[in-house]
Amino acid sequence: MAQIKTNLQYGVTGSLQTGSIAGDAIDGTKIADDAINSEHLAAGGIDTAHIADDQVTLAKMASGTDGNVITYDASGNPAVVAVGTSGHFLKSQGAGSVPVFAAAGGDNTPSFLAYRNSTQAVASATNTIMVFNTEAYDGDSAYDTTNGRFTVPSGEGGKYFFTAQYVMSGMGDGTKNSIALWKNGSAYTSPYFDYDSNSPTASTALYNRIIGILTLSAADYVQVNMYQNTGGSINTHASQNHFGGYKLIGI
Amino acid sequence: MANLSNKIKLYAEANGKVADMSYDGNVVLQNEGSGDYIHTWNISGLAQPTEEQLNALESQATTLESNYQVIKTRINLYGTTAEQLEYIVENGVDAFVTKQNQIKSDNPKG
Repeated sequence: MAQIKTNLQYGVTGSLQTGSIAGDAIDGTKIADDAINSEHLAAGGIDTAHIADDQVTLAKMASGTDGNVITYDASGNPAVVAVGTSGHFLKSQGAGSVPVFAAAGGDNTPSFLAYRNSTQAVASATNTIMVFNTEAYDGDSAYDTTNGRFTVPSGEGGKYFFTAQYVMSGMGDGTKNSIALWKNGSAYTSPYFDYDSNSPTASTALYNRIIGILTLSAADYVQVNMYQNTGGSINTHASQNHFGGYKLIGI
Repeated sequence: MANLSNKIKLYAEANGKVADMSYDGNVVLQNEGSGDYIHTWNISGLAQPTEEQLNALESQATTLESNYQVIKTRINLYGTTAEQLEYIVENGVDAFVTKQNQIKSDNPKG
């Protein structure tokens, strides 16, 4: 004891033992400013109450992936929404699911437009598929210029709007001329989309037009069927023949 | 090559079944880009014709089609009913008959 008193009295460096300091006896005035760093803090030891409001700046957040967005997952934990495709929008998937980047409300694709700038013969009393052999556009490569088929790509089932036209003359009084939308090799019947006309004279050019909304599944194909019953073959005109369509959204 | 529909019509006529035949009814012909063919055949009591039977009717069918063209040409030249009536009123029946006969002789059937 006499030695301890001597050391304290004379301020011998390094002589104060931990056991000689009473619990909770060191207050803030005994700690130098800016002296405590993370090695003196227990891992996870800072609770919410010890972070002042508005003190976490962007610079204090961990780096992430460019374009990602912070959100919360179903457990309430922070999560990221992966960066989306250019032009896409953030889309809620409802409670319990992390949002995603997605196209805004669909984009009316697949879509296509094809036409024919040469004649095509149509035999009498024969259902003849018109082959529109040139494409104006066909973003999903769903139309085939060799057989006149628009085929629904995988995962693209739904309701489609179609329009088609071909022009023919030389039928003669009272003969029938028609155009129809066909699905998978036969007339679409739910409901029928066809149009019949009767030529008033042989010299009259008939513009056979059809529009329709078809319900289709992946791999279904749609074609335009022509029909005339003059008794002989008739050629379509070499222009003004077209076939186009696109997927409807929202229904 | 003659239309398949005309050869079938001649085939049905030759077998006394033309009245029973209806295109887009019990006989459906189709062409999906690879040529005309018989898609549906359902004439009671008459078998679907063979390729040979149809080929044998080629000449007759060609004549039939030529005649269709002649008829169309004549109709065009005859004019509408209103035009024909007007011609009669203005020129008389004899002139009208002469004119129509001339159209027929100028456009003979095969």
